[in-house]
Amino acid sequence: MPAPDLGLRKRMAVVFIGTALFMAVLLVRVAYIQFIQGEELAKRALDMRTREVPVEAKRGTIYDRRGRELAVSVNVESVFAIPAQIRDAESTAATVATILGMEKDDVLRRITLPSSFVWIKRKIEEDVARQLKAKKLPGIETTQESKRYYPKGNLASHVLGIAGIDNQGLEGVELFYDTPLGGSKGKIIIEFDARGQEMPQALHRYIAPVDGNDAYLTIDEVVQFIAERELEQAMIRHQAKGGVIIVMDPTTGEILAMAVRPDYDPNNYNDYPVQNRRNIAVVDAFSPGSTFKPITAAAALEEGLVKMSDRFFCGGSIKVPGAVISCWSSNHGSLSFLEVIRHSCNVGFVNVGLRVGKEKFYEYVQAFNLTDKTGIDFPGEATGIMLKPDVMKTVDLAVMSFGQTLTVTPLQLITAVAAIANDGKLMRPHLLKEIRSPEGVVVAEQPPEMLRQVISRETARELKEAMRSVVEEGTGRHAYIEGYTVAGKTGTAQKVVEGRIVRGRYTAMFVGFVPYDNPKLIALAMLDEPEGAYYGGQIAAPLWAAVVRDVLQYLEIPPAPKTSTDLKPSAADPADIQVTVPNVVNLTPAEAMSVAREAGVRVFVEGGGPRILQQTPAAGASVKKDTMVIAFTEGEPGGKEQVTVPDLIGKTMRSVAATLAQVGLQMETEGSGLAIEQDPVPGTQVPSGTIVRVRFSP
Amino acid sequence: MLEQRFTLKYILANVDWVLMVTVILLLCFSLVALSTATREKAVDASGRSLIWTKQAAGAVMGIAIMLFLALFDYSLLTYLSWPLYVVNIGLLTAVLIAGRIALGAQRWLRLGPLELQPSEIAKLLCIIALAHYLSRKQEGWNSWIEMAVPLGLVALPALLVLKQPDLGTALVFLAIVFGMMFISGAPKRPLVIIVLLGISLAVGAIVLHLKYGIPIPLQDYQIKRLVVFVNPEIDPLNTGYQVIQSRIAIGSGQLFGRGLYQGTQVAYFLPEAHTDFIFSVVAEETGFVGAALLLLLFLILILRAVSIAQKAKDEFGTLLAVGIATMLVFQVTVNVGMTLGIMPVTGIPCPFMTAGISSLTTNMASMGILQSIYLRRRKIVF
Repeated sequence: MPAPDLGLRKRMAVVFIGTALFMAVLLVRVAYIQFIQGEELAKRALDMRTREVPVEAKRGTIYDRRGRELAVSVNVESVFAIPAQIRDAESTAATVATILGMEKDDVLRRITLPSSFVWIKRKIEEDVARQLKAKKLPGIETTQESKRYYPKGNLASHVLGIAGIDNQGLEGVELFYDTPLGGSKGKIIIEFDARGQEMPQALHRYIAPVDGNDAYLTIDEVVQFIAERELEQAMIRHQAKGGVIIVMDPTTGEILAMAVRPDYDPNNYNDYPVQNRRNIAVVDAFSPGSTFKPITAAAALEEGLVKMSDRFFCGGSIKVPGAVISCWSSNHGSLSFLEVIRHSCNVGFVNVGLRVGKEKFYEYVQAFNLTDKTGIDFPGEATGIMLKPDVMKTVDLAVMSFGQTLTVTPLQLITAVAAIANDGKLMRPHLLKEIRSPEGVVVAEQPPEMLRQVISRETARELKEAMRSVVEEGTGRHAYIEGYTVAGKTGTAQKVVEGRIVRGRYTAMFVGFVPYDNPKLIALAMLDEPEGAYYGGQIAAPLWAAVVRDVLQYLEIPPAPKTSTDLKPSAADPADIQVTVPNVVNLTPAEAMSVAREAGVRVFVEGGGPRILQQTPAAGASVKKDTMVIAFTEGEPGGKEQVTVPDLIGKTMRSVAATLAQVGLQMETEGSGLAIEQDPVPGTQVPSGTIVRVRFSP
Repeated sequence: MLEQRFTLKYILANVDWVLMVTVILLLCFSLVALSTATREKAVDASGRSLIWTKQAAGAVMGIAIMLFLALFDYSLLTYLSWPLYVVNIGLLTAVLIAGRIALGAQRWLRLGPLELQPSEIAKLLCIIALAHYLSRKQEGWNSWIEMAVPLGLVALPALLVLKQPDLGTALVFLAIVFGMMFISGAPKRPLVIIVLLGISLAVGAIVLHLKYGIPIPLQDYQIKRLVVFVNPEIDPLNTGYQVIQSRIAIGSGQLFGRGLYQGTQVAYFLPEAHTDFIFSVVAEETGFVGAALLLLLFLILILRAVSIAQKAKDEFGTLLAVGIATMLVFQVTVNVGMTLGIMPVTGIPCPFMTAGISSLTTNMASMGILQSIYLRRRKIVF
């Protein structure tokens, strides 16, 4: 046996050491990765294999001032795909497309996207989702989302606005109060492997969404309904291009109603032209015409430049540097300033305006907030066009003093006139009363906010007196409401398009408040581009009166003890006509008023409940026309009213939600599919806001 | 074939037990690691993955081969070395003509129910041929030109393997020939110069190719795999993907690992975890402790091989053992280094650990040859 030579021994040692060295290097590297980079790599490992499926928060409900639902969220299903988990894309696409009523190619494109998560169809019906789930297609899943539903349809649609598919406010109050209403999204974290397959013992973490808060508006559903109903009729009667009615509490700036035409149904807003969604009461400016005159008068009176008894002569026109301005009537002759206001004499106002002067005039216009936004809690508020004193010519001042060439939004106008009604105190108009948490705890309130004292109380009183005479003896006669002292101002403005007056196109307006000395209500009625009659006193004043008459009754504002009798509208004597009392039980006060009106009686709603429980005289009784039918709703106004639980069995979740929302009940659901059980049972009388538990089964 | 003195008692007393136990432990380690790495793969009726069942059968077969070759006198291999070399070349040629293409390379040859990967067996057959040639080189090394013959001996199979293409295995052949020439006393300086020159030429060519587009005889994907370990983020979705995933897996293992069958990274994010990236499974699920234990087993194994080389009764045995040791050192270093991101991705399997019957049986046969050498070692007579 040959002895190993020394060279071999040495070379072996090299191999020996080399091997040990290599292993040591590997071990050091393992240690480096595991101990030095370990934490960060472990975190990356977790990130890699988790996917997040969003869980939407339930958007808060929008209520009116008495807690009636105007916008609610209902639970719906949305379908999404995890493309990596799809087994057979072709057949999956075909099945999904059939069930969801989509194009197969569209589905195929979506489910083969190189993405970890893709929506296929959002917010589908319960039974469709159930069909799809039954197929148990790998990679096709559903998640619960909430869909916005506006139970009252078109009612107050311009105020409410719309919320988009991702639960985000897009317009109106939905947009302005998107943050409190929206809540915050939750998520389901699912662990997936590289091929996108859900792992067997994987982590499923559910992070619950935080539901949105509820918004209580200053809007009163019934007042809003009355305004919309009357505006709708006036729109048809006068074939107007647009219309606005705003009802406001002049002492607080709370907006009780804001009706706008043309309108739309926020549930199907895509079926309407985009311009129907414009809240022209807030975002469009109009020439205010004579409704602006109280502002000019306020400036002149406050500055002591004119007294109510000062006399003016109107010969039908007045010459100012650069133009001859004509009055709407050629036989005014000699008038006191009170009569100038009462008869809306342009010549008189030009004289007064020139006395005030450019600087002072602008100062007051500014003080009444007509150069600025009112600061209402509504997105996209606009302001009108107002010349600054340094560019204002004498002719401009003359024309502006009776409300032409300048423009204001209807909201700016009513806010400014409300300052006169409110003894000179300018209030910021607002739509939100308070925000409450889902548990009902008030988290934010919007108290009345006074911006400034624009004119003195005395000036305001003088103006109010003058505006009362407009209705009782002047151009605003058609705004007269029996038993109440109405003050107001008519206006008929020639339309200004791109800074130029357009002949033959008018805006008819009436802005007024009641009772004149201690106003509870102020309202503005405006019809844009009516056909035929176009004077504010002719068409806007009666519209105004129709709205305010019913609102006064609904709000139980008592008539003035002493009524003015010297000028009653010459209505035909209705005393002998007999009519039959209609049934108003189970209707909302607004619906009852509409029914009563058709039947020829009047209705007086007792109590603030959402539904009428009793009436007197009973239905079917024969009474004199215009007899007052008293309708009772139980419970305290604004408190918990009694409602009758409707029958929900057999309905889909969506229709259950809608039904309950309509009567003011809340729901708590279990399962999915059609309603099979409910608690309390149908017919039970419960306080509004009670939770009805509904069990669903496929 | 069996000498008279090879009684059972003699064998039990003289076998290298350390090597034997290490090999058995490695097999156990492998089967556990594979059962977790393949838990998401296709399963048979008993619920075990098909890959695992095949590997377990391969392990049993491998033990049989090892025991058979331990008893077989390795000296007789000198008579078989040239026929085996011819068979080797034949198989490697056949695989290029009739082989199955999978994962972009033509590596497998179907022989009845068995799938053979000739390039794995070729390593051992080459070692035998080289050991035979170098041990016959009585007169010693006179000139570095003489290196041409052994280099030529491996160049033929290496080129055939490279043609498949399987760059990693081709490199194993080079490692083996240089290791064996070194031990057989080839002049050190030229040896070192050739190795360093080869490495710098290869690196230089790749750098030039990447920078200036100089053409080199490699596929684009091969180049990418070679360079991606330097910065896996250059190709995070394809080649870099496994490197990144492997590092994440090892990193999330930390000291004691995530627990057996608890690793999510490797099982789900490394589709080929049961082959080239098996070390990542071990490191993720058993942590530093498991990884260190595995490396220690390899160290013991290789050092036993080196030790057996020293104790061999003849130069043929020494060179055989050294060839096997070199093969193992190179494969472990490159494979584990690849999972750790310090070696290029070349597709070299991890000895004993990676799923694959050809690789396993080749390694087990090597172990049998080592035991055979040890059983017939040179006795020190006092």
